[in-house]
Amino acid sequence: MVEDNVIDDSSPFSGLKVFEFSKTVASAYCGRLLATLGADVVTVEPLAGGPVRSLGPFPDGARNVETGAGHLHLNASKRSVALDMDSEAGGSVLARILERADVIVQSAVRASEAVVDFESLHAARPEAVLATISGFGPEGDYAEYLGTEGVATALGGLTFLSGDPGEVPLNPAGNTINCAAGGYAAVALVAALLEREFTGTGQHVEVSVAGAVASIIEVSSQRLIIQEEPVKRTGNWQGPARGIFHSQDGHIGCIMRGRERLEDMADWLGVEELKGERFKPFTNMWAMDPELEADLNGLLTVGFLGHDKLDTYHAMQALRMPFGYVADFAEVLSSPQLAAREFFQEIDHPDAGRHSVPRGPFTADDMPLELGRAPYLGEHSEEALRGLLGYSESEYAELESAGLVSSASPAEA
Amino acid sequence: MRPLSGVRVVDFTDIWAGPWSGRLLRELGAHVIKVEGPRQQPRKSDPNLLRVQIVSDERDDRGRPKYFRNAYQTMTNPGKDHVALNLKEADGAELFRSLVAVSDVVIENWAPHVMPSLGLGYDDLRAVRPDVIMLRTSAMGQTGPEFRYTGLGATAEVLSGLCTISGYEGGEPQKSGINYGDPFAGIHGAFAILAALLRRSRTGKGALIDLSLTESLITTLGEYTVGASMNGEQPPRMGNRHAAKAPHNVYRCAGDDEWVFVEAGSEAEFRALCAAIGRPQLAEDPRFRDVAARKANEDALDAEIAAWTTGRPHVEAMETLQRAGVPAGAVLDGGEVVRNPHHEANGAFAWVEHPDGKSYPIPQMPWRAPSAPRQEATPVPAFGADNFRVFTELCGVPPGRVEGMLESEAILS
Repeated sequence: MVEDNVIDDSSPFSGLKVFEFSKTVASAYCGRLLATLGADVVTVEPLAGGPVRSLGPFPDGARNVETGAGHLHLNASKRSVALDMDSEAGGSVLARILERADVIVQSAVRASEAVVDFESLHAARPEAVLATISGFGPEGDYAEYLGTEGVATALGGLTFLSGDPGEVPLNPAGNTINCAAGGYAAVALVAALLEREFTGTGQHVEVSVAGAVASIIEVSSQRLIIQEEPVKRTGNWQGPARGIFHSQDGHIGCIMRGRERLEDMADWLGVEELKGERFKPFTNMWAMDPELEADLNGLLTVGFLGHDKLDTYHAMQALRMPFGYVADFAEVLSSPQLAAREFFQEIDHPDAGRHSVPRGPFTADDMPLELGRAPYLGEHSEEALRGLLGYSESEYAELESAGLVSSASPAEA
Repeated sequence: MRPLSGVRVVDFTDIWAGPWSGRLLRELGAHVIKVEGPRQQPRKSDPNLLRVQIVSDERDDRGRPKYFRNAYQTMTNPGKDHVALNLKEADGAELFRSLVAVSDVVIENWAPHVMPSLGLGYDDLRAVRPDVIMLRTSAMGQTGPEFRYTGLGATAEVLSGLCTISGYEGGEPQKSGINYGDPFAGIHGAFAILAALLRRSRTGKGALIDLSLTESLITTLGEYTVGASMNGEQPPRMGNRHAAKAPHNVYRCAGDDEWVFVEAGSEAEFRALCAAIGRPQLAEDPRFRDVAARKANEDALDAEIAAWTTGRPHVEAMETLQRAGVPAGAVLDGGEVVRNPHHEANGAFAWVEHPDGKSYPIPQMPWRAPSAPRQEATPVPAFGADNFRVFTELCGVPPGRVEGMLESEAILS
């Protein structure tokens, strides 16, 4: 806790006061990355709870502001303040936040809907850094468009690439694209903090979700110029010996980089034809004739069908081929590799029960990544307003009795 | 001043994940030295990764293409200095250590055994640079029963759970059109380094960062691991539909393989959608009166929307809907993304004149940060192009000695 003024040297963001206003997943993910490395992140929510709380699944399917899986994951380790931001008193709380924050992170489907403007923040606290993530950024033809996950994925060029040839293109499920934008924002924001060490001044970094997508469509943007036609989607077969294939018990991710192991594979799969002369002239898997590619993938299809996916995974990895098995989330949770690395933290929650939260994207030798449970809506309203923002006991009581802030705690819930 | 002015990075990486971390640091002002090895040395019959090569007709004095750069190189390595070493030669490894001695950060993304076997493990590097920050990016992480396993972005993708929730309704688990794990690892890796630099500026301590492609991607899917751990819940594949919203789909448009993504997340957006497609009465239709009713009658609803989109170009359909306040995104292919006016206005791609006479679009960072403006985009230098300057000026090796090591092929060109 910041009140104790104990700065833990091992955590990069220890002592950093971050306030978060998340109308989308993007800044919630950014805040989560900061919280994972020791920042004190306070998510400031409307009285009904922020949108992240509506992201399921929910235990037994029943919607509840405290038990949504999106909230339990993205808000882990944060504190929550619940506030009527549209009221005059809410405005005055916001003004105090601007005076005292080290960092503010915020996101919305369009930049004009963000809560905090940089000029006000800079005037109140010149050293504060603001990160704003919006669907399309603050400028350009689409600045006022609604940049949701699906919209940004389509306009950034990723949707077109996924799905079966000739069929409707597919968006990847989930909120990963907003997380990518949140990650970019975290990068730019920490760079601004580093610069502040020298200049003493904060700045505003702005990230576009659609721009984040456009930056990660791999070589799709360049293939157009080189081959003078756009990359098309190819479904689950993505080249010779490359893609998702059926196994006896599910699916295997076959990812072969060259033909050098083809004979070993033929032995293990029991498909002699893979040793055929016609596959031999090719040192280069990527220059394969389409008919031969179809033959090769057809033989592999037969071979993989005869084997269990985990057996294939381990056998192919033993041959130094970068295979994977297509894991569902129960299998992700039971992965021995992830378990050995303590990737999931088991968190107890009075209402949601015990659940498994990813600790974060990396570990560092002496940078502990420790997560606490996600906060109840407004659980830290009093603590934050009095401890961080300088409200007296009676001032806080006044706000609460007027219904302008609210608090909940496990005991009351 | 840029945030990372004065920070030097040794970037010994390949493909996308590791190089993308280096690229982000470069865009923030770091001096990045890309170290390549025999695998990247130009050969006349190079395995052309993804069938994409940018090859100039210009030949060097040994008859090899002077600029032999695949699309990954142009995407991930612009603005970096390029040196080439054979690290299996004692002189090559020694030169690597002397580079590290004058650098702040080392990034590598090889299989975990590679660096220690070259005498370039964390302890080796700390011996020459006590506060070095080392990012080790790998498929599974540096520890655990599968730490030796290799993997690409696609491996992480199938292992992450993502494929099992993506796909057509009732269909197979779906691979996306990109190596999904790579860019997330690249972004998270840059974040980890920046956090470590911030900590170093206060404590003087370096760091060893262990980043797993698989864990990094799962961190963006945490709501699904939480859901599975609470409920055993594995969401079904539902194409482009959404568990809690309707409509939410990709609809066919007028042109060949032209599509538009449309969703309505609120009653106001649904009313706006009905009005925009000239069917305001749909908003009053009992089949569509609320989200639950729309989910129950989603086929009929999708048919109504498709009837309107089918006759329209995708961009026009998007513009009409967005102007009416409906989230909609044209499904752009790679070429359309590059030439889209919004992306152009935001500088999402920089066009680089390559010595072979063609221009190529290079994806840019999706952020705007006052102190990290876009850098001029330049062609990626040829293999080993900066050997002489880097080793004489930075490492202080006498020019005659560099010549000798070129001769003995400890330095490669």
